[in-house]
Amino acid sequence: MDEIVRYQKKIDSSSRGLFITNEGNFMYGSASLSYYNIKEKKVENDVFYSVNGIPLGDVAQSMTIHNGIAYIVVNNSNVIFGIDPNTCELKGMITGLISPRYIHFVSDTKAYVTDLYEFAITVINPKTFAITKKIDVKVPGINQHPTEQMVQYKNFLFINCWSYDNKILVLDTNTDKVVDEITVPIQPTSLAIDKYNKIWTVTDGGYEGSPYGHEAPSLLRIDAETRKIEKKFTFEFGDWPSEVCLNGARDTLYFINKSVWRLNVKANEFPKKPFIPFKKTKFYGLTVDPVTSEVYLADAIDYVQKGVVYRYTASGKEVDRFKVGIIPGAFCFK
Amino acid sequence: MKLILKISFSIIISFLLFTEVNGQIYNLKDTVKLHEVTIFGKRKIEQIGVTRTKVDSTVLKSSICNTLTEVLSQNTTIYIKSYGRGSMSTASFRGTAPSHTQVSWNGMKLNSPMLGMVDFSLIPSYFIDDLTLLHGAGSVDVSDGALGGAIVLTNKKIKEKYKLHFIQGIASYNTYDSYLKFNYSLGKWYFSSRLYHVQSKNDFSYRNLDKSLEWQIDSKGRKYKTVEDAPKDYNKNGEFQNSHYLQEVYYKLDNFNKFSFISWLYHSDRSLPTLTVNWSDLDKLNTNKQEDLGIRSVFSWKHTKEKYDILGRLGYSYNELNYLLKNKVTNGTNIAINSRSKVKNIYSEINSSYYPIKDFKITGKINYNLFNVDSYESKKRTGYIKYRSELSTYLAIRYKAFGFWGLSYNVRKTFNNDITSPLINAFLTDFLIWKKYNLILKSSIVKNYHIPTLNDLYFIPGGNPNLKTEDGKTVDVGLEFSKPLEKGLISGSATYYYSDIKNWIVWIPTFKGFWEPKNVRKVIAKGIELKMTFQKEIGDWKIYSSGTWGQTISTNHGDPTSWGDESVGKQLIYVPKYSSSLMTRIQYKKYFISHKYYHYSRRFTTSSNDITERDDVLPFIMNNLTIGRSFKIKKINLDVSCIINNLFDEQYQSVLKRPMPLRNYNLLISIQL
Repeated sequence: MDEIVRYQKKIDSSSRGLFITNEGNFMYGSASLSYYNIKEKKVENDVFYSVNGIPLGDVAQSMTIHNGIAYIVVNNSNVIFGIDPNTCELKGMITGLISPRYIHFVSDTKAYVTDLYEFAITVINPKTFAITKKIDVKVPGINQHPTEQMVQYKNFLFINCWSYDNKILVLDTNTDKVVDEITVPIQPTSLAIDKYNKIWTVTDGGYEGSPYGHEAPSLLRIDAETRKIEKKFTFEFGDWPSEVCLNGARDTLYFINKSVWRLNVKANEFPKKPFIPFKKTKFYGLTVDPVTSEVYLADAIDYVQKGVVYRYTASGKEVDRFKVGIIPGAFCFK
Repeated sequence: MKLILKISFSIIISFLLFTEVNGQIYNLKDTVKLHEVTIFGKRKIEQIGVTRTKVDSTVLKSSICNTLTEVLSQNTTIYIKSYGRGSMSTASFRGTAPSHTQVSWNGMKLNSPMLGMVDFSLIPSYFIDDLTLLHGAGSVDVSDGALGGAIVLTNKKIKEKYKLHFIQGIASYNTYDSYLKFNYSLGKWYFSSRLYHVQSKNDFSYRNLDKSLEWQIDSKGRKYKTVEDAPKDYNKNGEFQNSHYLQEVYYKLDNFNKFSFISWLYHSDRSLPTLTVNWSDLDKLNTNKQEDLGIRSVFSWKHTKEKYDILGRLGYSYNELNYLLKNKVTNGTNIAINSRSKVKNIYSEINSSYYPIKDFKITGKINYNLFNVDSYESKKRTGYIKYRSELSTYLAIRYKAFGFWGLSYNVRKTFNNDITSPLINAFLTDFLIWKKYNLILKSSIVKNYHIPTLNDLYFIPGGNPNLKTEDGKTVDVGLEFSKPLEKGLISGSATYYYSDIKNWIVWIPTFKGFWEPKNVRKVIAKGIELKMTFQKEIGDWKIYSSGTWGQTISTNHGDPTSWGDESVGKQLIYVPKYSSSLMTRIQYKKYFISHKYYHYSRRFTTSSNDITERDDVLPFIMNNLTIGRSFKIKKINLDVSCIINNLFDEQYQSVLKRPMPLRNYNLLISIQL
């Protein structure tokens, strides 16, 4: 008989929980998926591998649940896995992608996939796991817009373009055409849309010596209807803000800039004190529980060992901490 | 292809073993040389207290398919991290970083001033005539900054007046190796030319467990997977093609003055294979290519007199590395990275030794290197142009007291235009304990410094011009013996070393969004190196066997970076704690068989040394077998041999998620006249 190299280990992820995608090291193929049971404060690591017997791959970028399937975008493995969020069992996969980053659903049969290198945004049918269309994002002369995160307002999808770019694209989901673009400061890293239909993004400002330029990073508020920048908070040169996100009511904004900062979306002043002060480490991931407004913060430590996720109450008190996989980067509540 | 090769190998093996060529008289002494027996009785004064490993020329010339990747991993205690045949491979000497192994070729530095390391897959073993490792303190004789040790590569002229040697290799995965050497002497002149070319599709197949989607169910209802059930995959983007040309000219003016000119041209084109977890459609595979090319030339003059000698060298090298990552996208291609770097090096050296009395020697060396680096990435439009001017001065005083106690003091000071490097001191001693067995106790201590590479200082983004030198202290204690046997020799050594390296440079993430090198780590590397060599001739039998065993405990002793940091006290990644190798070659009349074995223990891929089933780079044992036979047809010496690599068909990984070939075959035909 052939030698058995691995057995399945079943996972029960049916309770309310938080999935953590751990990027793993680039070109190491050491990405993994962790599941945290919010009520019981228990973490189960490597759940994708345990249930499916294959590694998640190289650089797990993001995860989104839609219609009973959790879609995990694995950037450098050029694949999106669809799993059952209650058992982590593999249900399907989307291949034929170049460097996928995020997935956004507009219906049960239509989703958009952004990509770092593809000249297009890819449209897929989540029901069949098939690619149905490519929407051109080519820029004459400089390749393409490296598309990243997506937020939706009415039938318009707003897409930030981070790597050596300064645009937020506006895509009409009815016509599948890029209809507008908003010019912002250098390198917008993430997006969120609040309850007043204001889009928030942080720009990282590039780096010293970059031919693309180096400027002070900023936090921007953009009106989704007029597509105009309404407010701009400027940070110090050399700061590196990231990970804008909102609570469940979408009235409070959170982001990382060394420490974790929180402000009301209506605020006119930038807070004086951080919400969670920095603790000698570089925070890599951030999310807010849409139900309880609890805050989860990821620390990748030295980037070559298991990272840590800290859990805080809505008022910023630490209530739990647990080890996950290598470079915990993104979260997904279920 | 594989099947055809297997069949042809079976035919050839049976031919070798059971047939006789009519009327031929074999004279094997001409074709297969007995290993040179070094006389150990008289130890060289330069070797006082030095822990060194000389790789036997039989090993260097054991297969034309070998580069230093195979030679070092299969015959020394150095760990070679290899991404597979044709792909980049770097060294970890005594648990240190690749930049801590200094490599010289005929005196010229091969380490890239940009990256600090050497890619051993670009050095064909047939291009090297002498390979010596200087462990720890002994390295100060040839270089600074060798916190692990130095590898000294040299070319030498051979005695034959006239010789033509051609080897053709045909191997699995459409691999073809060709080698041609021609040398002749003409009065005071000696010329030698070597050409080597290899090309390979390197598209070996393997069972890809990382894409094995189906579970099997056993009688208890448990779901499981086996390697055999995994889908068949193949090594994608694995092709490579390398060409090398080495020209040597030697001129002996008189008994006191010798000149030489050696020049090495190379060109390498290779693709970087995809990971086992890559799900790209075949028609969407990206282009991921590296091109290396260059020339290295060294002119030298050696002047030898009774009481002193002088060696002068002048060299120039140009090395270019081009890397391209290009994605196939809708209606076109999209370049992600397109970088090129050009490194020029002018090198000069003057060495002199003076031995006023018996058993006393003073050596002085001055060498100067001017490096010019032009590095540019055209997609992001980042890069730098820098030069490094490096003057290194060295003085060694060696004395052998009472014929059995050797003392050696070495001091080196290097002056750089961009960074200050302190004085390097080494003290070495040895003691002859038992003359009959040439049993020697050796010990050395060194304080050495390694300067940051140009990328560490100037790379955009992240280069940190405020870096300090990495400083290492190493202590060695060892025993060695050698005993001539009747028509043979047995020798061995055991060494313990302890290194404490501070300000170890690591690239770490910063609040600025990119990674930056910092002097953060303290590493303690300690271990044991054992070596044994045995060779003997009994009647028509000739046996050669050589083995190594190494223990390498290389651990991080820096401060924990934050809560949950479990890297302190743990083994560095990709440094196996244990390694061993054994090569045995037996020759009987016109037949020979050789077996190579080497082993690496588990290599960790996380700084916290987590072991997960998913990311385990398991220990492996490799076995290679060579069977050959020699023929003599008139003046032509013909050798035919077959090599079976990965004899036991082991599925293994050298680097995480990189496939390695299963059992594969190689047929070599060598013609000499």
